[in-house]
Amino acid sequence: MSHPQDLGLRAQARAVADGSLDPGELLDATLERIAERDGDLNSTPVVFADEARAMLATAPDGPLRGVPLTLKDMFTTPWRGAHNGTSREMLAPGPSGVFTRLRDAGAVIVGVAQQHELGMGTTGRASVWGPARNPADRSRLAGGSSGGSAAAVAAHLVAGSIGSDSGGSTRIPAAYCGVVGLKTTWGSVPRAGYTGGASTFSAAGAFGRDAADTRLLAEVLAARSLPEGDGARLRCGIVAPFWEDLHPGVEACCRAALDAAGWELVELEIDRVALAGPAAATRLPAEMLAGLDSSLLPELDAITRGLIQFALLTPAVRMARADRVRGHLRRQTARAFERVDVLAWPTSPAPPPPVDAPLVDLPSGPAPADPPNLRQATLGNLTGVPGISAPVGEAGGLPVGLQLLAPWGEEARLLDAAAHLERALC
Amino acid sequence: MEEFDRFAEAALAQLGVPLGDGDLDVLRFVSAVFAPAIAALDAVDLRTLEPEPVIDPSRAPA
Repeated sequence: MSHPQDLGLRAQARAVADGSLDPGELLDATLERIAERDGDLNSTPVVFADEARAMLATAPDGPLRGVPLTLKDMFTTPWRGAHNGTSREMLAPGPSGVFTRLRDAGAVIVGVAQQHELGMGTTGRASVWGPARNPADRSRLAGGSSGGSAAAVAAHLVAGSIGSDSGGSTRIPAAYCGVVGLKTTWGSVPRAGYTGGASTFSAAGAFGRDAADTRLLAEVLAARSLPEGDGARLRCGIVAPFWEDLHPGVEACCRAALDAAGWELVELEIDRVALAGPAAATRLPAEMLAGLDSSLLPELDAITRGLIQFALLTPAVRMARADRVRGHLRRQTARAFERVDVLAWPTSPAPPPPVDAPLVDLPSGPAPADPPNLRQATLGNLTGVPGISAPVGEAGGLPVGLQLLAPWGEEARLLDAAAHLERALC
Repeated sequence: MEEFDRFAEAALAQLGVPLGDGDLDVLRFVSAVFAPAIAALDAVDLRTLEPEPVIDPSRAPA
C-alpha cells in the first residue's frame, strides 16, 4: 500500500469517511513522515503530536475529519501563540478563527509551517528556524512568506496547509514549489487570532496539490460552497507590464499554458498599474509594523531589520499618496473585470533563487528576488481580490506558476481556471 | 549618500531605534533597491487619479 500522505486531501478525507483509512494510522504515518523527511527542508519546525492526537479524539464529522494539516505561524492555536516566524509570541494562545474553522471541519493540526520572519519576504530565507528549502531542489528556496506550507504540501508531508498572503506570500511559494496556492478575498476568512488581522493587505491562503484539494480547503476556510464551474471558456486579461522582464523559461511556460488553456486572450491596460508595487511597498510594511516592539530588531535578520528601518523613514505624505494610488487601482481593476473574467501573468518572474544567494536572473540583470516578486503580486493585495498560483511546468527543472486574479469573491472561478489548466497541461 | 546617512541616523535616533554595526550599509542597500520605484510614486500627478475617498478594504470598490 502506498503511504497515506501520497494521497491528496480529498482522497484522505474520503478514505477516512468510508472507513478504508484509519485516521489514527493516518496521523501516525504523517508524524513519522515529517520526522523522516523534513530534515533540512525545514517546512514544519514545530510538531504537535500530543495536541494532534487530542484533536483527533474529539474531531467532529466534517469534510476534513481526521485530515492532518499544518498552519502558518501567523495563526494561533489553543496551545501555541502566533510568533510570526520570530522568537517572540506576537499573539497569545487561543483558537484563531482559522483554527476554529478547521477544527469544526474535523481537521487535525499537526504542526507549525515555517515562514519568513514577520512575513517580510518572498523567499522564505529569513526565519527564526532558518530557511525553508525547495523540495524540487534543496539548494533553492521554497519561497515566502508561507514557504513551509508550500514545501510541506509539495514534499507530501501533508496534503494541505494554511498560509497567508499580504504581498504574494501564498502565491509565490506555491509557484516556487509547484503546488496550488489560493489567496482568498480580503475579509472572507475570520481574522481573529491572526497576526495579519489588522492589515488591509493580508488574507488567509490555502495550499493543495491540485485545484480540487485547494477548493475543499478554501470551502472550509470561507465556510461556503465554491461550486465547480466551467473553466474552459474564460476571457483572460493580459496586462503588458506583468509580462515584461521575465526569465525566458518562466515566460515560455506561462505562455504555453495560456495557449493550452484555449481561453480568449484580451490585451488590456490598467492605468498606473506599475505603481502597484511602490504603493504596496509603502503601505504594507507600515501596517505590518505598527505594533512591532522595536526591541525585537536586534534579533532579526539584517535585511529584515533594514526593511523595517527603511519603512520607519517613510514620510506620512507618501503614505497618503500610496492610498490615493490604491483607490485608483481598485477602481481600474474593477473596471478591467467588466471586460474579462480573469487576469493572468507569471506568479514570479523567475524560478526559485538559491538559498545562499537569493538573487534572480532577469533580462534586466541580476536582482534581489523580493522587488520583482512584489511587482507581480501586490495588485491582488492592494485591491483585495482573490488570486491563485497554478503550476504550469518547469524552467530548468524548477517549478513555474501562472497567477490568476478574479473579481471580488470569485474564488470558485479561479479554482475552475486552475482545474482547467491541469486538464489542458496533462 | 551622506545626506541619506545623516537623515537615516537622525530620524531613527529620534524614533529611539538605534543603528547597529552594519545596519547603515544594509539600509543603504534596501534604499537603493526600493527607492527608484518609490520615486515614481512621489512623482505621480494625483490630479490624474480617480479618487476613492474612503477606501473600505472589506468591499469591492463602488
